[in-house]
Amino acid sequence: MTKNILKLLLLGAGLLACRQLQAKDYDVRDFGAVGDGIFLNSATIQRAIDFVHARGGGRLVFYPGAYVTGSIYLKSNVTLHIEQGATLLGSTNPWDYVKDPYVGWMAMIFAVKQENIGITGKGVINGRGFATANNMIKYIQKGLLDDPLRNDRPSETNRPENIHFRECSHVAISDVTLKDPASWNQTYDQCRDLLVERIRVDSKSYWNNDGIDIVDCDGVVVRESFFDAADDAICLKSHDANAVCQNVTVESCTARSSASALKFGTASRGGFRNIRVTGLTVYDTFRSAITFASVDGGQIENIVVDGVRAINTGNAIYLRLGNRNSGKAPSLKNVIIKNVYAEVPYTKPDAGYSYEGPVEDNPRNISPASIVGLPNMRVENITLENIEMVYPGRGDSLYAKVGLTAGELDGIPEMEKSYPEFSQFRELPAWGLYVRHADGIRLKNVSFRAQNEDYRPAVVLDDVNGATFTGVTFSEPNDGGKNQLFRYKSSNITIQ
Amino acid sequence: MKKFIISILLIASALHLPAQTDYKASLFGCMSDGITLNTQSIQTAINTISSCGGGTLHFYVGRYLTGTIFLKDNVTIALHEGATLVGVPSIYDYAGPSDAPKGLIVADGQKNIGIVGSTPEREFNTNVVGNGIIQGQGALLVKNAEAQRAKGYLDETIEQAAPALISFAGCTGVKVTGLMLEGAAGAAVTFKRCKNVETARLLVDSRETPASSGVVADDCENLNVADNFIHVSGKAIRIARSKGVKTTNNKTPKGKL
Repeated sequence: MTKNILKLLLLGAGLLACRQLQAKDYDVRDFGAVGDGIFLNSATIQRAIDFVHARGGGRLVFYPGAYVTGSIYLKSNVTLHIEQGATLLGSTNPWDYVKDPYVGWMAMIFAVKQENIGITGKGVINGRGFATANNMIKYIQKGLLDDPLRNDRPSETNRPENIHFRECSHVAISDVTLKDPASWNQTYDQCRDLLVERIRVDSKSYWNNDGIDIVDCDGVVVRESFFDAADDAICLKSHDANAVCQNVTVESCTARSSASALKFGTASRGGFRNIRVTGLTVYDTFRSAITFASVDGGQIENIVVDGVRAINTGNAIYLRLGNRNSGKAPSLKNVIIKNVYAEVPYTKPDAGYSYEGPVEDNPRNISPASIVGLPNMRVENITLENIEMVYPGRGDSLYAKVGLTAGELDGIPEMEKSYPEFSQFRELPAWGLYVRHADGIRLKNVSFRAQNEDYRPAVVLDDVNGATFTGVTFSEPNDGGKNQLFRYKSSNITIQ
Repeated sequence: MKKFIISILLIASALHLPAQTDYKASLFGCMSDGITLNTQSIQTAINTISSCGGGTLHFYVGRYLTGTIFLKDNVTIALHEGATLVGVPSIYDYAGPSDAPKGLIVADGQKNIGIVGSTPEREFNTNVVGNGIIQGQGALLVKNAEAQRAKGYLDETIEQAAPALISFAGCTGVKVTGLMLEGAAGAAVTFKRCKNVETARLLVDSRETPASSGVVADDCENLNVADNFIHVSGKAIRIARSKGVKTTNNKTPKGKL
């Protein structure tokens, strides 16, 4: 099934490429656009797009130069081709951007209900978001825009993204470098047949600078791309309870983040299914290499992650069910994660990057990987295979302690309505893996290595029904033969 | 009646009732990017708030680079979860009270001041511990000071030049609570001739320089040091010539103090 979808996608991309070869090229300068880094080209670029669209389509080419622009709307059969040496430079005046009334966000390049569109070429899209966001703060402080300034920053929807496409089909984004938006970088919401390849994302200019957000899309390939982002790097979301993010392939990508590298959520209303991630490299990432969270009633199922190398990353895996008032039961099941090597450091993994992740949920020692459901909403059928996780150990019980007594284990809060983050429980009683409220957990060939002593055992299972451990090994210096696998309120646990 | 009012006032000052006016750091142009040097923006904020009768300056999540800032009467700095005041590594951006060590956050002869880790909007909201961070970049700072001395540009000794994270002198009504204090060049917190001081629920991790102390007090009165976890290269708590000192439930990695 997935293979077929992939073939279809490739075919679609091929057709699109053919069409582009035949399509006519238009030089944006012929319409009067000026690449001097000063002149505001929004109206000129918009006229050019409308013209190319009306003439049946083609490529609007940006030759070397810096073209300042505010919001523009891409139309069917038009590709923005940004040559190497050309930059679309975001205006730093927030009023040059539209908050689209249909999608409710601000962006530099919008497309709403269009087809056969693309952004190609080795040029750069630079939102200059830091300046724009701080200019927006000044206007909010003056009372010109109503915004609560939560966390002392404008809401994500009051800061422009680089790209926001909604309900578009046959979309190709290739080769471009996307830099420094004021909000998320690129959102594809309810799009069909989306190909993102060989792009480079450098997105550390302001808060919520996600790398890519794929929201409720169907038929997506993201490949051979590089993401360096202040917030989640490769992020799948589900905003609509009646939609689902599905048939997505992410292959041969590299991600660096001051949040999580690969994330499903946090908005998880409809759900995520049939998703395959292969060949993911993660480094210097503050939170998790992999976070799958369903906290808004969404269903997460049929997920395969195969081949992850995560170096200097705060946490390897976080799978979480929560319930933030959606009125609908979430699920998280049938997930296979295999061929993973992860190294968790003792120090802050993203120290020195612009917009570092916030140190929070203290005091806690280094957090373990976690799979956490709720007492009546259980994580089901999770396989972890061929995995090696290296931890620093050094858990100090005087700094923070959750021991193995019933009182301490039951005292760990459920945090049903909280934002799902691997550190949210503060101190946890294991150094390698903590599983709570889950059924059908299989660990095959998993090795847990602590580089220093830790007061905690490697693994704690709390309220787990049905778990198989095959070839699971633990190593911790001077562990004195302590029981590294602690079971509490759990049944049907098989160790082979 | 007069007596009654006076006693109410006394109670109020003893309880350190928070000023009612709240200000966000962005109002004064403070940038959370860790690159912009915010010293004068923060100082303007403190001066403004103090001259308007006092209040709380709120920093939300982000890294706020700064040199020495001087707290003034009736001003409290609240560092919300994830908010970090980062000391600039340039040695010439620091000053101190006239007769006490230099510091990143300094107060000289002020009353009713504080730096507090504020309550996160999370499920844990009772006993705030270690929210909000002050980061000294001590190792870098000392290295830069040494380089300046080697060139003959810096007259002070390293010890004189190395700022504490917090250095208050001659202050009354002081609160330093619920913060993480990291990487001081000098001591983490130092009080001289201060009265009615509360230092509680701090997580101190200051080992970047060889002899960084945790909480230092000299010639103080009514000093409460409670529920702190102190991991430092020097002495965890060093109190001299002080009256009315209470230290309870303070810990280091080696055990309870």
